Amino acid sequence: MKSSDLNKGRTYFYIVILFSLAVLAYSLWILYDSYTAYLEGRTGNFYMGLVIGAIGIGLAISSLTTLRKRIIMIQTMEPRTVTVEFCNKCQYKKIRKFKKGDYVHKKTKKCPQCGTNLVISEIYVEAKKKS
Amino acid sequence: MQNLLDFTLQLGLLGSGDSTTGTMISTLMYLTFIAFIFFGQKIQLYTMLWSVGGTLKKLDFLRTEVKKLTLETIKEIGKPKEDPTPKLNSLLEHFLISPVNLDPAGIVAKFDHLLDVREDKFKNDVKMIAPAANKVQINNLENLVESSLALNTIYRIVRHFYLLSKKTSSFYLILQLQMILPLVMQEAEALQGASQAFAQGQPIGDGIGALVASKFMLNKKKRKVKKDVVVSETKIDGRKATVLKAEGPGGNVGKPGDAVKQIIKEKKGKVKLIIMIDAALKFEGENSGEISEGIGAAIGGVGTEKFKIEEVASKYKIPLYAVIIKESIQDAISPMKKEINEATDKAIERIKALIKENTKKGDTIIIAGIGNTIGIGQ
Repeated sequence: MKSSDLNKGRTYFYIVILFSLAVLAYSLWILYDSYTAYLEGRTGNFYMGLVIGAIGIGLAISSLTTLRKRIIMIQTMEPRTVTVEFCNKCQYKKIRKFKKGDYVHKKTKKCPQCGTNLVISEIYVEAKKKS
Repeated sequence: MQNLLDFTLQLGLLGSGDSTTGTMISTLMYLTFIAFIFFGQKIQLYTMLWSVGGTLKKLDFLRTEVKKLTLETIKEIGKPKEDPTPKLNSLLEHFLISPVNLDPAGIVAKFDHLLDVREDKFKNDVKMIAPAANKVQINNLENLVESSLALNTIYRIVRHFYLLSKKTSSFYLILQLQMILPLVMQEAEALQGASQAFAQGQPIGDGIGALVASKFMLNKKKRKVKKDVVVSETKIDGRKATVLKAEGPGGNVGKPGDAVKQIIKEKKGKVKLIIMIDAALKFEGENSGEISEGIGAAIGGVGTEKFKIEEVASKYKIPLYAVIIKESIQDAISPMKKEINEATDKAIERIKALIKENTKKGDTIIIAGIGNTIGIGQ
């Protein structure tokens, strides 16, 4: 993914987070306001504020949770292709990032332990572990 | 805030406001309800058109990205002197007309011929736009162009039905399109993943059959047989095994049907068992990398290679066994996942067990690893 795309994505995430937090704060304030209305005996305003506040809090929390889920999903889905280099003689194994030109059974450099050629035994994608 | 609440109360939503405003709102609500009764389907149609339109934009984005990647890879590897865009655009609109099936006798040979012509044309065109690419890179580029072509075709089909529904205001047409769109999008996203793999030369899920076969071929003498297939002779528990797979590490599926036919002819039909290993579609709820065994020719595609293998096996009465590694359609065309890669050793064990159970020492067997061998040598 290009860095400009990543920046666009980041800006979008920040905007959504800020908006959701603003809605959450405003809804909490409405709730507080309705509580004051209740103490003052303005029952109509109390119920109205209660409903609007609850809806606002629900929407903000739902938006933030969805965003969190998306972030986790993207992090887990981000593929990491690894190449496993293996020494058939001394069983030395090295796991590294996949490089263009790698293929299974390709002979690579010398084994640091016994000096025979290392062979690429596996290339696979593993999902990024959750931190 | 207080003003807002007072205003809402005045609207009569809580029943304590001005009665004229309340009546107005009630009338508006009734009118909306009546409008929904008469124009509900129309409203639904426009909602669906809007939703499909959004997905179509996403599809357009995917196909543009893959096309961009294809162009960049062609320029990077092939070092063309002229701009490859017009030729690539023409390749992306390429099509194959299936042979007539009114009289199905002999259709397989006709189909096979057309597929050969198509493959040769594709390879030659890719060679033309990427003159500096070697054989392996040509195969990978060809696969990349194929995935770009597939995405382009999906986009064109979806756009066709979207515009047709819009033009005819057909609720049922757009409904069908919207119903299948999630599956179409899954495939489109997988094709985008595949294009990354083809550009990099990474093994894909479909290559698991070839990967299993390649493990039997390690450090053995190899020879090339019919169209892009390599063969090795090895011994497994005292049995003479002829192992074959498409020639890697370039993106290639070869013609295993022709290869199996040739090997059986060379052995004068004295083959006791054919085992085919391939990736197969899993059902939802099953895990990727699970292994199953069964009877028959485990090979996908249009069916020409399957036909050849079934034909030769039945001619010489050779038992045909299949070992399949389960994966989703997305896994099959995406870079190979860890769990699929880990199925290799288990599949080898299954194959060895099958050989032991069904043949005697000294018997000759054929092991055919089927699938795209991109990123897998031998």
